Amino acid sequence: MSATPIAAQPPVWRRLIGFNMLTGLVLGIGGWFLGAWIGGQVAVGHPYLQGTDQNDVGIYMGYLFGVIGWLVGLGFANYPIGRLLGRPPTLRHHETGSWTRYFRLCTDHKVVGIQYLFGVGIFFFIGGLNAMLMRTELLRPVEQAWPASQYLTLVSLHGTMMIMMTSAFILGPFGNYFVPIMIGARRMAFPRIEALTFWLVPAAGLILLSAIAFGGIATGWTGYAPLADEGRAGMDAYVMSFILIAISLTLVGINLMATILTMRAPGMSWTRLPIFVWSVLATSILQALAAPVLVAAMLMVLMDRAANTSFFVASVGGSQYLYENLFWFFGHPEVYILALPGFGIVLEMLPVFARKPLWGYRLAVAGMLGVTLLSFMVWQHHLFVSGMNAGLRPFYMLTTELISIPTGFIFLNAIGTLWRARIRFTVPMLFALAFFFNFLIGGLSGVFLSDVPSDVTTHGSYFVMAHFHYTIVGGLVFAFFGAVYYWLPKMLGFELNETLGKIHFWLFFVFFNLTFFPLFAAGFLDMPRRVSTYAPSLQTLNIFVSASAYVIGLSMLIFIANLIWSLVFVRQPAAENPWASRGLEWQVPTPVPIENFDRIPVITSGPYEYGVPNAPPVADFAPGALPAAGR
Amino acid sequence: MTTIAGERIPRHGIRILAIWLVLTAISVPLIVWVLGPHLPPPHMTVESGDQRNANIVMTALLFPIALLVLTYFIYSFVFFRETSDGIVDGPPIKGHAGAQLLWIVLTSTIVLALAVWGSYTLLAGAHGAGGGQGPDPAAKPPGWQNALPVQVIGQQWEWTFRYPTYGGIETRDLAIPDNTLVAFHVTSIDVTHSFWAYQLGVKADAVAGVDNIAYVHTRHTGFFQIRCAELCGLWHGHMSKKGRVLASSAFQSWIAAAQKKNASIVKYLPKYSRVYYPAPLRRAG
Amino acid sequence: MSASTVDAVEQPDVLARNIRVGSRIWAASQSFFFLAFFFAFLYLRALNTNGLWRGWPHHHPSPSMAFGVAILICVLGSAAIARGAVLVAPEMWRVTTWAALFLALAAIGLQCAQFSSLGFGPTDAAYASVFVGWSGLFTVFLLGTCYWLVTVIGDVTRTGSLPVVRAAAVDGVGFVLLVLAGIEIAAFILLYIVK
Repeated sequence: MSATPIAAQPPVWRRLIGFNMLTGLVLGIGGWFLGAWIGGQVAVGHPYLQGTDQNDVGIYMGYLFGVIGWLVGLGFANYPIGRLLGRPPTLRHHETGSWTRYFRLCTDHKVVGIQYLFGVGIFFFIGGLNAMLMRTELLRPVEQAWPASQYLTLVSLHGTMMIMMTSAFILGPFGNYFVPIMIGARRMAFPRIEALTFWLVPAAGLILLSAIAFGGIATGWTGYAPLADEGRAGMDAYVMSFILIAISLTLVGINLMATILTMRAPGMSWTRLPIFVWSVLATSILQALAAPVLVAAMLMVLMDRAANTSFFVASVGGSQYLYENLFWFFGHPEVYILALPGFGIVLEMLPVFARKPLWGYRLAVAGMLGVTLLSFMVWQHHLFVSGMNAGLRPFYMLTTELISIPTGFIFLNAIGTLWRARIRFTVPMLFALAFFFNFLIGGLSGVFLSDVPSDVTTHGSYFVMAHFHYTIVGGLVFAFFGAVYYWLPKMLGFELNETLGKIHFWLFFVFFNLTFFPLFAAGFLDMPRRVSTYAPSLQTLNIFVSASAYVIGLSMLIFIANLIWSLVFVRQPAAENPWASRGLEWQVPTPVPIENFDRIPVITSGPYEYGVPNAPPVADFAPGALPAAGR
Repeated sequence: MTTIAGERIPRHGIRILAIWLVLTAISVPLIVWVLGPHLPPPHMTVESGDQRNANIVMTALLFPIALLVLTYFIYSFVFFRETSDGIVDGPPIKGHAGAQLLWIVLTSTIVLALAVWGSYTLLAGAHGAGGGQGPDPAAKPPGWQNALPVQVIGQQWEWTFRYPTYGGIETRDLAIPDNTLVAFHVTSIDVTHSFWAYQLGVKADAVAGVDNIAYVHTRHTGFFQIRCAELCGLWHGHMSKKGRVLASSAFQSWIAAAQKKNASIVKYLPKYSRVYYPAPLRRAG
Repeated sequence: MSASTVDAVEQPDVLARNIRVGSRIWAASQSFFFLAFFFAFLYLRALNTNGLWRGWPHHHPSPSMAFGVAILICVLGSAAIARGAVLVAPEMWRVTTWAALFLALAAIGLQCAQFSSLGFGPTDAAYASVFVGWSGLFTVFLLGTCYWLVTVIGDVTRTGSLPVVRAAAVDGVGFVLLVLAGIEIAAFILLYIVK
């Protein structure tokens, strides 16, 4: 779209009217009040909905109509209504050059990727702030910084926000931005659904944060059922936001799977697919299949709270085991949704900075698919001491230990790729290597947890906390930052400051380990999770951990400072291919054209042919044999 | 390793293995004999002793694995780094069937061995008997039929203990006799809690409507710490207290004193029941 | 509505493939959603906590079998027509889609009628909870599929009335209805027969 001369542009306030984020916010708030009113009308006089101490129906209807208003305001209703009325609406929305397209429904997958980057990034930092506040409470072994209810809300918000947001940490920004380019496509299979998956995220985040105003959340991110049923109104915010995120996850999974299956360029055979795209495919399978189970579980909690059903209430025929089983049937694939993209990112980066082909490509693919399959079969290891059928414990111990075999393949790939390599220690490579160090510790600590006798001490203790922070933060978050430093020059077109990047890395890496390694000891020394009071003998350890955690926060501030410094002040344009990568995404210009490619390229070799003499280029960008207006 | 263009390539593999072997030879005995006795849980019961042994075995097995990977990585950072300023490609090695096969075989063997050993000790050795197994336990220590039943009732935010074989007396302090097999029957009267007796090596979720059985065979007298290990609401962290393992005679006198003290209340308590329920939800309509 | 008035964003055969693949994956996601209720039914029934799976003694909720059979027939019929048309008579797609839509709407209407005259409610213990939850949410999914059927009838596809895209849409919605019918069979067997 060519720039309109300034004189001919309507005034600012006129330009704000339209289907955009502001309209979405206004209609969302209006919808919230409307829904709450409707809910009140519905509940009055209806015997099944009375008898609770708050009008959960009103709360849920309020959130539901709020979300509908938000989506309508953004313009998501235009296409469905247009189709119903028989008017063919446009399929491209705001794929222009204007900066305002980041605040609207935009069907350009690159815009969605950048929206995700900042959207989940903001919630990641809010979650991190919650962690800093939690560690402040734990400086002393008695309640001192926050009242008990606020502390539990902080714990729950930190966990829920991090899990919800980091589920899309890599697939959101980098999956959306780069998968089409990496497979040689111009767009994704369902661009409008892709935009929808993003705009559900701020809605879910805002609803979750609203729990603070409604009594907080007392269950932690797992929302265990009998406690969740009796929670205050903030619990409804948790249920609603988790439902929205699960819907977003399902749709992302469907979209990415369809895109990778159907829209690969000619010549992009399965053996030439970048390993990152394989990891996205594996993750999408998990998302499309596991997230619907979470929606069902959350809807059951919703019904228990709003309509007095008895899914999880033992005294009326329900069972809390139903909740645990449903939640963890989702929950365990969920943590592999978090881990697999991390694997993909680091295996994608290692060949570039080791200047060698990815060693054992097929083994890596087998590992990822093996993890995908096995992750559906391990969930009851979260229930080892719960009174589950004790005869099943050996089976789940076996499957949980088996899943470490395909996970180990990833390490063999790294070992092989580094063998006799020519390693360059750039900032992305530092994060990738730190991933392996952290995930090694995290993964091996999981073996302790998988052994039932050992789990008797460690279940529900800080040992579990340390295990999953090592795998999720040490794994996924490190991979995320590696991907940011690796791909931001292509996404935003500017270089990031390398010195600040290295300071960020070293502070983060060292103090991350200093924060979480002692927590293994804390768990071994009888400290349960989610408490604000603990044995006084553990105070020194906790002070040390809190101090290290503050430094992690400081390292994040340095990262933000790097972003602002590089993107706002220095604005040094990045080279088209600063890392000399053979990846297809690095062969397109910066900034990436709206259609990605003038013509759909024909792929002529794999992306990891470093050191191969006379290796053909990765793709032919002007395939003469195909018609100009072809695919 | 092969020589390329007449240049001898150092035998990296041998070097890495040698470094690793030396480090393992030093660390494993340290783990087993120096760190081992300090690994949790403290050795107060048969179950906690078994669990601690499990921890020692796993640490001794997993630490060398971690050492191998770390040794390799650190070695590669030193010897496989690019020293010039430019970007130079390395040798185009895409895989090695033998190495992959060896890795798969080794990791599968270790994992399967762990699983088999874990299952065997769990069931046959009843090492996991301290973990709650529900109303139908699979790992039952010998003599389980004559175990002393102690019921643990969790609620928001307190633990109560009943002794059915002593007339159903109810106390808020837990005491169990030494050298006895005790069967904890853990249940809840509201939300889910988890009864964690650290030094005993016992953890069993307290679930409403469920009789969760955990066994423990005491060996030493002393205090043990009880905590709640499942988030149960506002004062979850406050559900902690100390229990005691008493010598048999001391236990008998304690029980007798408790019976006398609680006699007036016990006669009003409901009959002993393996599970308790809160008042059922009011039915609408 | 011809191709020239609508942005030719995607080549028709790619679009058709996307719709086909997407509909299969969506059907899989739907199945896993209802798998949760399938599991809830079997698990709560097996646990029978406090003996209250069916409800309080002498007050076992029992839904009307007539309604159950009628809803089942409507859903099965809708799926059979929608899917059968793809295989047997693709050129009759407009008629068959109308018929499928009508039957699906009839199923929704019957379910609403049953809910209003149920005789028990969500508070009547575990079986009633699963019944209300499963049937209610199934109706919601059926309603969404009806929207899809309406758009297929409206024949407003992204590239106008191109046969290959329309055929893919008919095939896709037929497949989703088929999977929904399978879920409804399972629901009928469990909720009405096994109880």
